Amino acid sequence: MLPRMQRESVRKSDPGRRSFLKIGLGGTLLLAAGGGIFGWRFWSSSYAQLLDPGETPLALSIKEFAIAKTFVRALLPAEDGFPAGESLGIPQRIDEEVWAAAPELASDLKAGLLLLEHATLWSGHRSRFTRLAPDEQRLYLGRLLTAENSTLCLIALAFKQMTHLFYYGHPAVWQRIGYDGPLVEKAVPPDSAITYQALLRGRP
Amino acid sequence: MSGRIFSGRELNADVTERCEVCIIGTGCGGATVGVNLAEAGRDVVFLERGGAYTKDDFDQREIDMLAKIDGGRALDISDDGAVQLTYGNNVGGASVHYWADSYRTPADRLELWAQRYGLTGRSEADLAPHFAILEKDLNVHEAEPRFYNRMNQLLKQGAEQLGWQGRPVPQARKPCAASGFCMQGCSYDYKQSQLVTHLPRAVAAGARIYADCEARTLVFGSGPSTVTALEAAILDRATGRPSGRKVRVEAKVFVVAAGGYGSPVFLLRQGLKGRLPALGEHTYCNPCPMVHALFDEEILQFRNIPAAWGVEHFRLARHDGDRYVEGGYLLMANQLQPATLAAVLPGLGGSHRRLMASLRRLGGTICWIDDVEEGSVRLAGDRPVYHTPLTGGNALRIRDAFAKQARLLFAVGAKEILFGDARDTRLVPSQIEQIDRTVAALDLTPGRFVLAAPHPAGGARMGSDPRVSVVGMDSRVHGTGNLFVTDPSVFPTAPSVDPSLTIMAFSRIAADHIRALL
Repeated sequence: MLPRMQRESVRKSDPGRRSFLKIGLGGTLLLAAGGGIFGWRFWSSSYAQLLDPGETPLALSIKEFAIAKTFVRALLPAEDGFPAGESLGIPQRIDEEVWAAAPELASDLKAGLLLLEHATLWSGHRSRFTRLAPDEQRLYLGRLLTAENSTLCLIALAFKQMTHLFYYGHPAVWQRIGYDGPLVEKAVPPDSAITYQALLRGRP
Repeated sequence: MSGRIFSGRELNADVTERCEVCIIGTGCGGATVGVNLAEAGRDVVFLERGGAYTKDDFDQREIDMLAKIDGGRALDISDDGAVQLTYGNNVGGASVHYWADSYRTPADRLELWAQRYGLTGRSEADLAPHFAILEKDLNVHEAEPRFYNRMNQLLKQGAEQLGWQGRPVPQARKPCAASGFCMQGCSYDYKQSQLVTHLPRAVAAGARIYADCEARTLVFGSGPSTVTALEAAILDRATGRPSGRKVRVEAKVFVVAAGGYGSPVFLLRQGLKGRLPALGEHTYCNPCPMVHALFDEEILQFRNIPAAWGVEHFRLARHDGDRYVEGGYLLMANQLQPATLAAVLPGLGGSHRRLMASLRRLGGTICWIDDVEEGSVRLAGDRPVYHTPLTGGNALRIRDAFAKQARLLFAVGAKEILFGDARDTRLVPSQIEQIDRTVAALDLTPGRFVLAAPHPAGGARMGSDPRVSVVGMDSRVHGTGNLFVTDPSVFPTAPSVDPSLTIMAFSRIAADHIRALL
């Protein structure tokens, strides 16, 4: 018997990802304010520098892709015999998922990346997420996962889940974790993956 | 005359179908109604939003399969992130990714539905002949011990040690490859999903199935009570977006069987809420708290049957007067393939990687909470917004389920257990006395841990009063002459066990009513 159980109150739910991430005008103003603080005019070039030559997202903007890439780098560096998430194309896979998602969800995910980038302000950092040192980035993400603010918490959880899902679903990681893999040999990619890749190849 | 399955990509022009019965959805509800009507000589057309796949498409790669058969590509959540909505999006519905657990509806639950919600014609005796047929058709049987993976062996051992009653979980399989890829669709056609049972029989009896086809609008006749046609959009499977081509089905009877998450939303979009205030209300979803555990020995949770043996001791909640004491859930061995497991494990960076490096020794358990606090689904514009409260009685059950799982896992030798919450709360055997205190301190705020919600129910519940229910005892929508609902959305509450067999039994009864109408 758990004493606290009897006192479980009916708490009003916080606004969640689905409702809150429709950031609309308020959110846009918020991000614009962040832009003023960090120096908007330097953004596009600095984000583009985070991308490799020829790296082109299909659904995410350059800025959103750079944030996703930084997230993957922070979470999954090459260490202890694990390959880097970036080397396995996980940022591109996130772009694919946003491309394939329903429009409302895709816009939530894109807004979530922008909030990840700028919510550093709330945790006392002076730089945005992509400008933090890798150790600081991990600390920041850890703080977001336990943040009082449910929205920040949900965003961090959503990208953590997605990144881990794609990384550990990649055959290059299986040996390291002792997973002997599927019992059928032939992979059959979904239509969405085939079309996404074809569209990427078709790009100049 | 044999029917066939049409994929969206085959349909290069608009299609008009005329038939006796049009069914929206091909999961346990729709397929069961359809096969019963088709084999009785009725002309049946199915519309299915998801794609048509065969075992050759089930490649056992988690990421590939999430995109093919999981609704929302596993990214769908409730309004505040409390639960992750788990549902099928393919011909065969959720039965293609389910674990094949096949329980009869417990007698106590049927009595509750009769006494509190006024259901008639659904007593244990009424359902028994339907269950007998379904169990034969789906080869429902208890798994032999050779199909118990190590986690199921430990679950059984722990339950016996603690004096908790359990039994082998009835399985719909014929035979079984023990691969462990049930959630990715059976690559061997051994799991007896609707894809390999009712649907092929329905097609053999002449039914046509239109895959990649999203039902949009019911067309009513001169009055509001008779539906004359259904308009649907053919989807591009790669993007899930409308291709521009359409299907129109003119029929005598229309059956909504789009699943517990889908059917209430479809009916809301038809503007029926004004006439039926209970529509979208009184929903349930069996939230699933998990506890992960590290053992010294190899567990290999990702192989063999997921839930071969289950603890039923706590299925019914126990109260002392009005005070909740314990229970209100089933307790099972958990089975997740590595990518999904990685997604739900707590931690970041090194701590998460160390866990994944121990994959072969990672086991764990899961509880299906028989939720008592009702949720709802509403439309915000055209967008469904689901709400599941993790408060009140639901929170009491979730906490108790965490505590019982922890106790069992330590009883069978777990060296460390993890509650999977954002703070990465863990306990080691020397802290066994701290279980209750630790569980009481877990933060159940949405987003602090991952709860799958695989068994939606309610939202279009059955009853005789249109003010508090949506369908009558014949599964027909109140106030309509030819519109039926046959899936878990008609249940007054969750059934307290895996719902698949209950859905099918209710659907067989609905098929009898529809046949009588034609």
